[in-house]
Amino acid sequence: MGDYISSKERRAIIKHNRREISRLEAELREVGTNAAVMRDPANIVEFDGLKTYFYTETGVVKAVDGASFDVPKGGTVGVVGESGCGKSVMSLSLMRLLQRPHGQITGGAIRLDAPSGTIDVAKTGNGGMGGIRGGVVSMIFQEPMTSLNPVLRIGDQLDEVVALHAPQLIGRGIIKGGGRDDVRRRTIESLEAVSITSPDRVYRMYPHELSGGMRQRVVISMAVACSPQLIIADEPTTALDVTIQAQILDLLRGIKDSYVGTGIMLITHDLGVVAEMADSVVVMYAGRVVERGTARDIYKSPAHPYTVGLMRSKPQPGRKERRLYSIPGRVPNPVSMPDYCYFKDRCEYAGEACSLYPDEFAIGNGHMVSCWRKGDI
Amino acid sequence: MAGATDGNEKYLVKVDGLKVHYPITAGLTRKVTAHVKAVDGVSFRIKRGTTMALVGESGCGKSTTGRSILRLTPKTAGEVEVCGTDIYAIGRSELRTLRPKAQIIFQDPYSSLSPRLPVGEIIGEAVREHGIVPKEGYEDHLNEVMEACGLRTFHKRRYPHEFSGGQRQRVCIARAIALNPEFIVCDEPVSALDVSVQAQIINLLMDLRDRNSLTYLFISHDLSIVEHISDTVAVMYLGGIVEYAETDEIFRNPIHPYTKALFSANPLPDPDIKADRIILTGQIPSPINPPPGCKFHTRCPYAEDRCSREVPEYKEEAPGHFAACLKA
Repeated sequence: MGDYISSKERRAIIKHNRREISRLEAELREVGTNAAVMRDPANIVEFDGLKTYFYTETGVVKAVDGASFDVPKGGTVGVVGESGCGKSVMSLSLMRLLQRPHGQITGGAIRLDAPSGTIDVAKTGNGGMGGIRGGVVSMIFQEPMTSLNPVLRIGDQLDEVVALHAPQLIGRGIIKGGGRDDVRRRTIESLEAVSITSPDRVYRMYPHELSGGMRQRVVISMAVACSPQLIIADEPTTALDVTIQAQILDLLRGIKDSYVGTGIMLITHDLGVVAEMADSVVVMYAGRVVERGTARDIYKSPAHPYTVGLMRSKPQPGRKERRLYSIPGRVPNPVSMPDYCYFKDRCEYAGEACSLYPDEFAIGNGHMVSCWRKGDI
Repeated sequence: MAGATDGNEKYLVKVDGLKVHYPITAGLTRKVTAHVKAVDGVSFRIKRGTTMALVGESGCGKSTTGRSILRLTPKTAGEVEVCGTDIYAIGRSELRTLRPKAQIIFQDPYSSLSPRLPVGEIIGEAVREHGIVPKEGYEDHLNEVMEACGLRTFHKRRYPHEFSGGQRQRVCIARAIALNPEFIVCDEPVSALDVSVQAQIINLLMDLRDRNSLTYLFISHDLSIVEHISDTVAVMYLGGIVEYAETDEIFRNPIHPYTKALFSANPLPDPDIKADRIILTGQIPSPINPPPGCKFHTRCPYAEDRCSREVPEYKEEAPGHFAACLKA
């Protein structure tokens, strides 16, 4: 839709983008330290003012624009928001899986408490991420069919992960002779851990032979195979039916209990799933965190008008209303974000103060809100 | 068509023993080796001006039921009567006169609009084709329909790719509404949309229903939306209806174990309700070879020996509340 851009303007944008991208890439290549110190040692990861921008031909898309929150060790944090709010980009930034060179972390820090020492992922190049991905942080994606390789057997795909990330098991990640049996044993164990009834049979199967729920179990077993410190679950149940969703959520809860200290970052748009799983909740809107707190804070006393609107637009069981509430207007254009509060144009509480983007205010123990009304709604 | 008696008919849609089986062929000779029993004996009635919801998991046959009621998918057996007409007994020209009365809205607004036609043409093509309004009233009718669906009249010249998901779904709804239908099959109309957009579309569907006294068959797997929009609910499992009742009744007193499990699996947006969830084990069996006896016995937490032998009868357990369970 967007506004019309002349080819001259487009050329100027592309030129500007190229300069910015090469500056950012050069900064990353510069040999510097990526060591960091955690603000709170009880956290596994701390996002601190993260900015992730995409340099497109129509302008800079500020997908994440100064987002901060923590994931504590052993805790489950639910990140909610509608499509395009930047919740998936947060997780891709943490894994450094952004589409390069267009996607770049331009500011802020992602401090990760890895066993080899605390690092700032925002300053770590691709080479430094090998041991982190899968070993320290692993990911479960929405669509299990596209995250499994269709031409490899389940067992081969899992063996590869185990062999690569558990070198203590077979030494230097090369599967040889006796090592192969150890890897296979470990793979079968991890399939059993996700309640797959006949792991030996599934080991020899191809992804297309499994149902959606079974495939998601395989993906989860791949994610937990190396006992990671943090699991990012990006819409893990969106493609599944409710009864299968209940099974998978139950499984994730079980994993949290059996791998003590593993944090889960659950990214979803489903407020029900978050309420059931998460200890604390982060609400994102247009690339920024608008509210965060414990699940109880967010669901029982939401303080940001957007959170309130989101809750009200979901039909409440047992309470029949004539009309569903719907937030008026639409999300601002990501290429030209306004310089005032991003939610002002859709907010029924908007006032004078809203012409500046609000700071984050603490309105309770750990309950933070980015709104000038500080929960007075 | 039956003509004058139509308006007084209590039920707009009558379905009796509907079966839709898809053949599976193999080899060069295309020999039929088996059948996918997508819909296997479904019966229900929808009262004029009410909304019936059809819920169930993917593969249970709810979409196939919706399509075969409109004769978009051929039936294998059974009777389907829509707007007082046996829809499978009529010829092509008669079917054509019936089409505007019974419309469908699909799940995915991205794939159900032609990318090559402007929105005005998408909505208006069938209006002209069926002669819904006289030629001079065409533009006015189009404008009126678009405004009723929350679209602006200048959108007529735009193409589908210029719209967001919610706007596209409005176009799909406008396309259906423009023909002044009596009955609309809504096949998961909001499941591809964001929560706040879902609310807008649900409100629109409810407003249109009240204004044009429409009858809906609302196919969905989102139980909180079903509870909000529908008057009656039918729960499907593996090609058959296992329970049917009025919305309040079925949500308060579900009888069938599958309904209970389905309702309890629905996550509620309240961290204090971590209810005693019934988690079903296993997967939905294949509709090619459904289990004998009660089709649900392989996953049912209350199953007994006889459940694998006897086929439960679909009978009235309480006034207006039907269920198919031996233990009810």
